[in-house]
Amino acid sequence: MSANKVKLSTSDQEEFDVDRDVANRSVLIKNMLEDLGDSDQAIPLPNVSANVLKKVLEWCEHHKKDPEPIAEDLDDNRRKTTEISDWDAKFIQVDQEMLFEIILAANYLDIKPLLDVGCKTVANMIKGKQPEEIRKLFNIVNDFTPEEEAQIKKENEWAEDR
Amino acid sequence: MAANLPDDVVLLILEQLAHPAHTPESYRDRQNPLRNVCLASRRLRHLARPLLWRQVAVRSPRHLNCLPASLLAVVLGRHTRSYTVVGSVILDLADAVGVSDLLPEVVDLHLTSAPLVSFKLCLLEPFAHLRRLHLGLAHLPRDALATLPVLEELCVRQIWCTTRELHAQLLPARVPRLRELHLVQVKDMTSPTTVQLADVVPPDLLPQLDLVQTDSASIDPTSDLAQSLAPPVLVFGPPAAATGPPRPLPRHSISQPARFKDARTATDTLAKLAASTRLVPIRHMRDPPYLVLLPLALRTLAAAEPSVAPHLAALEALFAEKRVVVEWTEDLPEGELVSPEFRRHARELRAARALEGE
Repeated sequence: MSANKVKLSTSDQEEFDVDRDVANRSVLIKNMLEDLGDSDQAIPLPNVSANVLKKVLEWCEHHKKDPEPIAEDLDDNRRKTTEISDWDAKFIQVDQEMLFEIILAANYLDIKPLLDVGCKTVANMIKGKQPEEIRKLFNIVNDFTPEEEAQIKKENEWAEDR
Repeated sequence: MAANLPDDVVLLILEQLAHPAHTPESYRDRQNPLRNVCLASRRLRHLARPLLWRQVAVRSPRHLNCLPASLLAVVLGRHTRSYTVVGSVILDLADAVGVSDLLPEVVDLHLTSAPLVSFKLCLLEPFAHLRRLHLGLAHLPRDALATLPVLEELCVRQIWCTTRELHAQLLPARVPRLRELHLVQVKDMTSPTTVQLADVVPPDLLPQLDLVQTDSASIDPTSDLAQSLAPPVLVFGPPAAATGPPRPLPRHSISQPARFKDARTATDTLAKLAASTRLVPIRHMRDPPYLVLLPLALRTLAAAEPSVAPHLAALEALFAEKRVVVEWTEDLPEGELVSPEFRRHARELRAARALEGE
């Protein structure tokens, strides 16, 4: 195996040969490679299936030359929102299940910028949705009694726009 | 599927809804989705509630009275970092800051009121973690000063007070950690004049400040302070008054986009800037350059308006001759008071000074 290639093995036993600088976008893989040194062994990724990894690697390939993000010493109130780039916006136009799979994979593989893109996309989907639609998005059921719902509405009245 | 998302990932998603808001519209756009998330399920409510509480804004007594409605308000209030009060005839600033026991961890406090009301600064002392304070449209009565031990940034805008009181408030003992001071349109109650920066900033305070911002009415451009490098003082607007002879450029100045909103205003501003630049003294080569921050909008305007372009070109030639550096600036980011360019410049000046000191 060439020093510039890395072998990754998915949960469904598929193997991917990947350029090292592409794989290095994942902090998890990068650290593993540093620990392993030069090895022909495939890196097992038991939490990622082939169809998701393929998608994640597409993102890594496009972003392989991105500079390391600069750590800013800003506290919560100074943090800035950054827009999703056109390429990323197009990339993340996938069905809902794949979107959540990408988020989970980015979280597991420790690819912070991809995780951000995924989380921002879901956050944008939440905006403008009523509680029932938010439940549908997250595939959850309403576990409040009507009395509790009334109480929560009352509790949060301070944040209302009136 | 999504029900399987671990809490830390759901939190990352919700964090994207919880960015600090700096306008009533963005506050509404922040709180509404978080409120709806709270109503979706117990788990989501548990995760979203602290984020909802991170920022609190009150604009009516109703908002204020509803704050303690939750049985857990005392716990949730500890999550609040930013607190904004828009006072009015029905909402008194003093009542609004009376909730300090409920919101003890506030770091950012914005207080404004219309119409102008009297507000005792000492009421802010219970906010023990206050790092940034923006105070607008208030009248500061006598003998009500505050000691704000961790305050780093103070912005006073359209305030009425006496020069003596504000000077006493700005003594290092009262604001030992202050690093940024913004003073704009502060009026003296005893005489209907604009309070002068030089009269209210105690000399002892200067060494601890990273930067100062003020408007051209509050500072004499030829004064030591206006020419100062430590701390750098950024003056808003070209220094020339509407009438009278031109005044020289201060060391650092910024002309806001409104000064270049159309060809006529822009040519007028450029002429004033040119007149002020001609008065910049000849300096030693080692003396750092002057800095003028201009909006990028001016460049766009000059490209589109043949009547503006030659004036800008002439000014840039004059800048080069007088060793005045231009930084082109974007519109200020929402909620930001200092242009990132000036903050960077101030940091560089400080680093250079530290090197010299070594």
